[in-house]
Amino acid sequence: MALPLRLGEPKATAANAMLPYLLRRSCAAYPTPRLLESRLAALYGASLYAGAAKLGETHWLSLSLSVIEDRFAFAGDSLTADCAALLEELLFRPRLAEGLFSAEAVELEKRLLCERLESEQGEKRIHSIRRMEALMCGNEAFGLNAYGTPEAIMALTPADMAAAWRNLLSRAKMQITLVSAGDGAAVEATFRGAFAGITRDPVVLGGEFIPAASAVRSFTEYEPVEQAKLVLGFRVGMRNRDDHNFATRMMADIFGGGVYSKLFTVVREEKSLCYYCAARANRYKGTMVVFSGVDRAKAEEAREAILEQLAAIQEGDFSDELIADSRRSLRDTFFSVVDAPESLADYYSTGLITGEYLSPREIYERLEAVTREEIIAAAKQVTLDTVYLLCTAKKEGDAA
Amino acid sequence: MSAIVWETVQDQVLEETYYRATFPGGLEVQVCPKPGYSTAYALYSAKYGSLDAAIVYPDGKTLQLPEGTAHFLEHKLFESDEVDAFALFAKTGASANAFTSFEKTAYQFSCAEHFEKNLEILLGFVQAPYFTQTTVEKEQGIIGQEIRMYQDDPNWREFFEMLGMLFPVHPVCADIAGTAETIAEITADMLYECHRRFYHPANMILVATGNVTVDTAEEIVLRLLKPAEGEPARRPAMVDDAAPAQRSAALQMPVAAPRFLLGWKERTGGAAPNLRQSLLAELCLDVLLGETAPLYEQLLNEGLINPGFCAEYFNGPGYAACLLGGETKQPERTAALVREALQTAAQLGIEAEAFEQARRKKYGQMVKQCNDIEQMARRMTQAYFNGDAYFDRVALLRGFTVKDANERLQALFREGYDALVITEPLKIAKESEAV
Repeated sequence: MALPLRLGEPKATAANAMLPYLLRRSCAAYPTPRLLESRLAALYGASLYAGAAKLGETHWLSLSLSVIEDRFAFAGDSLTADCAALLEELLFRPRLAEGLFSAEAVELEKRLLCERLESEQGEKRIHSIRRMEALMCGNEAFGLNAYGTPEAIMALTPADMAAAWRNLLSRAKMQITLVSAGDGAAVEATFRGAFAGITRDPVVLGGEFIPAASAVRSFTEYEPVEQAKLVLGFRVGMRNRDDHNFATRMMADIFGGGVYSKLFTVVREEKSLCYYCAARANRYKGTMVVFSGVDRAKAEEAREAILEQLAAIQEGDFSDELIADSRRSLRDTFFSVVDAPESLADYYSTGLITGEYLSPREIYERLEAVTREEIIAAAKQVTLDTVYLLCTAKKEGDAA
Repeated sequence: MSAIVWETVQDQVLEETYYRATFPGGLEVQVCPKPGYSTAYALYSAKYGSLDAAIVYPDGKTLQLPEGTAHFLEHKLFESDEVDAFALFAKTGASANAFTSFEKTAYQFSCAEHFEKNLEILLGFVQAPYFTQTTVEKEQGIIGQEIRMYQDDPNWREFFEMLGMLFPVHPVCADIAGTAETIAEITADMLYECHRRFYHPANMILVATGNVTVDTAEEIVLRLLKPAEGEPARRPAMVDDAAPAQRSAALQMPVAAPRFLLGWKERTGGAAPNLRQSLLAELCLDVLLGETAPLYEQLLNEGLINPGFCAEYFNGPGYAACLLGGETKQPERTAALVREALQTAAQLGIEAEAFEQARRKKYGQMVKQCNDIEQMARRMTQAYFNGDAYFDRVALLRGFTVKDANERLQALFREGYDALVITEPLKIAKESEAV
């Protein structure tokens, strides 16, 4: 179940980010976390996931359940229907007293959300990308962490959360995706009934697209890390999520997608400048990020080598073989989506943002149709916006 | 051509079937065709991991190996200058990788098309070692970087700190990748010898799952399998059953919150715990420390843990331990509460209802695992190296009672066999500068 809203102010973002987790643990029918977990265990260990992420300026909130098919149950249970009913309970019938969530439940989630935010800082690969995004997009909603800020989280009250929940029910765009060998009639009936009494006014999802960087800004932050992290943020010239999207995706893949890419074969293998070095385009934001783990002494050289590879693509200096390698890899990736129920559900749920429900095969066909000229044209629209380096503080005697 | 005899292995409850056969030279091959699947996955593994600190020859002679040799060999086979496996797989679109653990080295690919070609590539490069002193030296630099990256990972650091206390004389306590110093001792000749002894067909297994057929696998393996040379290396018993001498350690790292890792060593007598022992241990841990446990609820409500808290039964040849931990604001207090609760539970036992719940949950996990062809292949591989078979888990689980669990519990939390690692955050002086 996807329940996206728009990323907004830190306080609203923190409240919305907390909602899936709070709803997960504050159900009227299972009022303590332990009772809920026992229910999940009885459903043969059904896995319940709450999540808050960002896809461009869309705040991607979700609640999802995965459970074994009915035919594997011991005694003819209707597990899929039971899980749909449980999701419906979680979303529509939280445990409220006088219209408010309990103070203890809200305090628990405040702590956990802050700790989720903090633990990101321990994962330097992710932390360095988040820091780059925050610095690059400081004036855009995207610059905010999907969990908000610690200050905004700690200021939340039970009344804020009740208001956020009511807002979610009326304003979130919603999509329920079921992947099952059975039919979806029971699931559909459950949710049709639940939504019957709700007045809906869903938000329009969109993102802020800045086609080009105005100047390059560089930041260095110091933490005691063994391996330095170099992250580069680019604007890719997209004016909306469909603007040369497929060409940009192909370009980013050739640049730093897989083991055949320029970044892998040249910067990592040939020049041994990085332990890892990859590029990802963000269709929902019109940006591209290059992230790498480097020796601090080689960071400058690595930055230059990365930009040289981009320049090479802009000049058309890449083989047809590389395009073919990239196509083969993307073909395999898209054709593989259908084998895992979770990945299939995720794949189709983003149709809620794009409004398109193309099959993996159809997406691949559009990528395959991208020409060499279109890849070069997409690369020429790429501008470097932000350079971020995370490394150990300078010591005396260090080389500059 | 030698006739291959395939054995059909079925499980009625899971509705799954796979086929197994022994190929010339002793190679085990298992194939699980999954109707309706688009992708295929292959996993080719050698029973050779970081535990194998020496080559033991049939006559009893040994050749000591530097720490990190198995992992080094994996890198060199996968990325040798002559035949770069990544470049070969790029021509088919498959995604491929390799990894080394304590007990094994494994090479894998998954693909939606060209399974035959991919399997040829996989069997080709794993069986064709090529090293020179120059390529070995280049790899020393790359792996040096990998080792440094692990040093920034608090989970990794705590884990090896713990293993150093629990198993000080067992090779499991050494970092899988070795250290910059140990990998500097590796030579091309040493790698060739490891390849001959540990990548012997009788020491390996190939598993293929998903959109595959037995006939295809048989044809390709028979065509490409190289004849066995000499005898495979043997893995000696590795005994380390003494109570830990050092029982606490402290780390300082740039983490946001303090963390703890608590471990209980189990005495193994040098063998690996069997499937029954490890399944029962996993169920006990779920009952005592999982999200349905009263202790979990207490720790969560008192603000001492978050959902990152987890417990696992870590085990292999000659080592076994219950490990648990996560972030906590009060490491000492949390560890003390957990210790007390576990020792009480070990005396009082667990209740039938809680055990039944954990058993049902585990059954659900086993069913779900059959959706995932990669996980299935990994389990099949592990089961083979452990001397059992994939479906044994389901059959065993069906027969368990709470009495079995309570008997098992006695061996898990032995007085004086525990150790604690606490990681305190280094003060991060958040300097930054904009240019």
